[in-house]
Amino acid sequence: MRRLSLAIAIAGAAVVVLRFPRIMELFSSGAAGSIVAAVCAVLVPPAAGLAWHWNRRPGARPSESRTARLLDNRQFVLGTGVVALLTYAAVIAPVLSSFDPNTQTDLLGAATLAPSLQHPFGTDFYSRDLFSRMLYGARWSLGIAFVAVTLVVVVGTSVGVIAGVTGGIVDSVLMRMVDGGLAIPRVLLLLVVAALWGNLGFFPLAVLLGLTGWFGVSRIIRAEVLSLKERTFLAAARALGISQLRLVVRHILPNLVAPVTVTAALGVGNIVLIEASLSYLGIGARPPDPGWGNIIREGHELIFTAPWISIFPGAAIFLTVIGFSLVGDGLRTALNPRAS
Amino acid sequence: MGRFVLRRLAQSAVIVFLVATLTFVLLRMAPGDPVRAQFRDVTVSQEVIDEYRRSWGLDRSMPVQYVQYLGNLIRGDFGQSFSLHRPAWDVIREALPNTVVLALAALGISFATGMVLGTAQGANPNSRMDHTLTVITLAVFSIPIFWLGLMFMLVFGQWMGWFPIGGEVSPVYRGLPLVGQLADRFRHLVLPALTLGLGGAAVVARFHRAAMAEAFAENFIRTARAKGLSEQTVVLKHALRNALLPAITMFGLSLPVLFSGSVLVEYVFAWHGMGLAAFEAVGRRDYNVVTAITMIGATLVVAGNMVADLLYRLADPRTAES
Amino acid sequence: MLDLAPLTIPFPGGHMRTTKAAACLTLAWTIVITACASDRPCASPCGTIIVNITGAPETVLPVFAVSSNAQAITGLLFLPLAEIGNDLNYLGDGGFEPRIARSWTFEDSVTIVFALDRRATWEDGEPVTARDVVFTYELYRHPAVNSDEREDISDIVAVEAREEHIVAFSFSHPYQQQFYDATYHMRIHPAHLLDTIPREALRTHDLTRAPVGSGPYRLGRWDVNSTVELLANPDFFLGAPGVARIVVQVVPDLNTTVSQLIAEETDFADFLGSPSNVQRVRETKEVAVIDFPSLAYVFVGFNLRDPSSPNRPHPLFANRDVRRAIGLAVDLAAIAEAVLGDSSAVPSGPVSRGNALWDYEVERTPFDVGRATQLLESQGWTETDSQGYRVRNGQRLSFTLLVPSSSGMRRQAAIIMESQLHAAGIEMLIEELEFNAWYERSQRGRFDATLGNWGQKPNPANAIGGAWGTGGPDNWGSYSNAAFDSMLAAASRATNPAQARTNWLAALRLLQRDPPAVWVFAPSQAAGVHGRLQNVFVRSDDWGATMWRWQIASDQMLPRDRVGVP
Repeated sequence: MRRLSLAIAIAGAAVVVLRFPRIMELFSSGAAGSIVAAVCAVLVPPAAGLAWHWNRRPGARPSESRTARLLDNRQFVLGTGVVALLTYAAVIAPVLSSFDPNTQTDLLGAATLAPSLQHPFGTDFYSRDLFSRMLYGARWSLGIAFVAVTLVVVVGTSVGVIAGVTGGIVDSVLMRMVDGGLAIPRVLLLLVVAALWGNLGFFPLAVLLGLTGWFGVSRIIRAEVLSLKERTFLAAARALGISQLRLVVRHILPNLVAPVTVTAALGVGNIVLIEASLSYLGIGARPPDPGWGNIIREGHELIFTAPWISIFPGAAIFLTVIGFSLVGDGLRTALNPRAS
Repeated sequence: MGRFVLRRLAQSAVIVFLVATLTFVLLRMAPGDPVRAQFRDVTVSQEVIDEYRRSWGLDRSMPVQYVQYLGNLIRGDFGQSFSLHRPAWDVIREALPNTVVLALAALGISFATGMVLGTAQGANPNSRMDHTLTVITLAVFSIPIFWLGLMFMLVFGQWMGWFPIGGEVSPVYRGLPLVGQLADRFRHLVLPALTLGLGGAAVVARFHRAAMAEAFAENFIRTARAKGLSEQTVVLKHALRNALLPAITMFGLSLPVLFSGSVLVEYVFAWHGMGLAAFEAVGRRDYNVVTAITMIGATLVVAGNMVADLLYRLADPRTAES
Repeated sequence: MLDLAPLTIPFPGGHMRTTKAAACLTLAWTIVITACASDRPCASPCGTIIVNITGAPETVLPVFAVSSNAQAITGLLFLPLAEIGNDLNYLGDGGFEPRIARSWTFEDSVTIVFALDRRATWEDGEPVTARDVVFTYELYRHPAVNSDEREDISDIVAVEAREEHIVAFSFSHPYQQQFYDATYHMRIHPAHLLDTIPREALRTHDLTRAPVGSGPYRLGRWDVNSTVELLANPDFFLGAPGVARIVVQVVPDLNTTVSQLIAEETDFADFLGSPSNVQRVRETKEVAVIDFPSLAYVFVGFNLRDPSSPNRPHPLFANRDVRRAIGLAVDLAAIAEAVLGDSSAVPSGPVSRGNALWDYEVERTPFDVGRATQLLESQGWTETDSQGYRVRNGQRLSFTLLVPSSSGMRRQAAIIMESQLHAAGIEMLIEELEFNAWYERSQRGRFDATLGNWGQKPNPANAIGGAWGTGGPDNWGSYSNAAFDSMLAAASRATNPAQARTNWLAALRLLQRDPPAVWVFAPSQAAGVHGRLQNVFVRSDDWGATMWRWQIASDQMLPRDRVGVP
């Protein structure tokens, strides 16, 4: 973790030094968004540096705590690093790139240029700077994924736990709902939704993705709860007359951390991927605004002549998936009492 | 067990009814006139439109249409396809076998590959191999499925020329001798099945790895090891058996995912199955075909889940009493 | 869920002639030598053509055919009285070739008499007679059959059999396109098989799946979702077809089709999609690319009525100068070049490249931001806000464009226009909709502007009047200009081709001054054809039109040419 703080501090400082003129430009632009980005760019390196300095002192925190275990877990640290860097890049997008993501620099002269110094990721069909579009696209894609996954985890876990713990008629009703939800081909659902609403905004789309994605999670969680309920330690607890609520909070929820984190970790990447396929149906960021899905969609038509257009967003999705999975794995190893 | 099966059957019927209703509502809510959709950019007069609407019964009120629709479904009649001038069932009859073949092949690839990888990883958690395989499975998982399909097509179809590029059989399939027909089918199946199956394999491997790791942490494994059983026996007989439960759940869950995924794969590889037919039918607002495909798809998924539940019960005696 | 129909073109086909020599020229050097040195077509029908189409044909009976693919396929099974010439002339009978009719005479200004070819027979051996022609006319006009060509033949008032092989068409009034109307829309159906079936039951009758035609091919097999197999009719009365079998397969993704063409797994596709796809095919030496003019044009249609209350004029587009300013502010040549590549062309009105009116002298709207600015300022749009958009009375100059998400090219054009209009101070918001939803919104007039694409038949009269004439069924934006209407009427009633043309041009010039739309581009289409096929020609309105004359040299056959050919 210390090394990660140091890395972020150095990277941030490098950005400030290399892009100093751009930062000043943003400060003087007067637009609120630009100033926020510039402030973030300036504040992050010292903050990371402080974190590094503070953590350097030995014995600053008890090394036996869960937090300590977590922070010493290499997977978790690496995953956090990847996620943090992606998020940081998205936040300070205007600092990193001088190009507006929607400006068509030279439609006929500068379209589908391969990566170069001026355009690190090349340009797209419309001669727009891909690096800039990737950065701004991250804001849309990651934002949607965060919101949607939160919703998936909260709804899916609640339904799964309620069904698993109460059992009986509640379980039956909930699970039949879930079966129904799972039985409708999601593609059909999305096609109809695409037909009903052309351009959804950010939050409606995130909520839509969240609300159509929790069925599977609730089933996994329920199965886990059922299996937990039969374990010896819970049977014992029940025999001792522990209340239902206490059972859930003290014994079931902690044991669900592992499956939930795996689900959430895979979920972020999954949502980013679904967002990409939704873009094919015309649901996504409103053109010309970028989202990773839109960029892949536009790149698909040129997949054989300008592959970089779809490779960069593909790689970004890959990094996101890897990052979150590492975070999930790390969390599980560190938090799961049985795994230690 | 018999009562359980009966109860599950009744529940399944309810689910299928819910799906039928939801499909009806969704389709009628969707904008786009089914009659106009048959004509796309062709200019047609209002009279022609009205005549079609009348002959398809779309001029009647919603509740009347709904009652008729349910009545027909109960009798197993999916009605006529709007765009193809023939029973919607004809579309299903041709498409269903293709989808089943593709889905079974993909399921086989997913579970065979996924379980082997997951077992190997779960048995040696945090080893170098575990980390490498994690990265590889994640990489496969994070490739958009159409992209993977196009790349397979480019590399193994176009450049190497090992496999044909699209279709479930070659256009001159019927003229081939029997052995040639089988080989032709197999050659066409490889790329689409791999495309559809590999993403699933990554998911199966991840869940199975987690399940195996959990299983290894259990007391009985320690006991088994303490008894001096060989590592192979521990892995195969004890840990794997315990980790089978999540795998069965995965099986139930992967059916709908497979069905959705098959839409994209079938589209890319021109595989004339249910997904492709559904995609086209939604585009043409061919209500009866969409309904038929949704109902068949839902029934398959529900049946798959029921089988998964049954297996779960058989495999895990602990849930039997609850 | 890729681009299903980058341009939904109802009547594809082409003009550009690929004679044997031209085909050889388009092929790369290596195979020119082998291909053209020893091209001996087989004596009798041989080989197989595999055709890729993107959507399943809805029928194999012409009277129910709507999509271009169904029309092309049914055209190989059923014949018209006479076939339109490869130049698609629709005035008089110039260029038309005999089919079921051996000859014809213009008896008076409202009557055409056809003498049928006595050699013509149905697949079951029955002769084709005047009764079949009369039956066919009644079939196409019958309300319960509900053919979409019903309106196109409404000027024909009667068809009567005078003798067993003589049939007379009577028209409601004299006009130039009588012969075209009598022959282009209808293909002759067998009365002796279909007449006994009630008309309402015909659409779903078993015979529609096992059609008995009189054309060069017969239906071999039809799998609804995937393939249609046609077998040559060796006894075809106009001469045996060159190729023994045609297999039409449904491949929805054009990327796949292009890969199949390159891998020599398929022989023909009438549409390849994006310029980069076309380029991939061009780089393949085994496959030739045939460019031909498309019969479609793409436009930004303005709504002249307020979408929220259709009785009021549109706040922006009721104003002629605002519409003109938008046309001046977009660089259409750049859009066409970026989106369509080499085949770029800017139309000057609602006409496609395949249309006989294409190369007329009407000037294109120039790209002139200065003039656009002048026009806007004259209408009070003088101020500019912080984002560079023009403002009047505190309101931004802004409108929404509906774009169907199924069309990649239209989407690309919209994104480029958005950027160009921004530079001119006009905000255009893009709203993407699924095709049917887009169509419904457009058709109901619930839009500011919509990015449409009209396909035309060879005769543009109905299409232009329907889309831009007052009260026309496809006049989505409620454009109304009495002078334009009367010029259209004069053009379609003209008694000679020159007069018709003069009236058409006057009408189109008028649309330049009072534009109901921005005419964005008129595409040229590229088809991919395997190099071993000879005598290939693609007609703009029907890719199957000349396919029965295509040939395969016997020494260039691929193994699959022979598999299973009877």
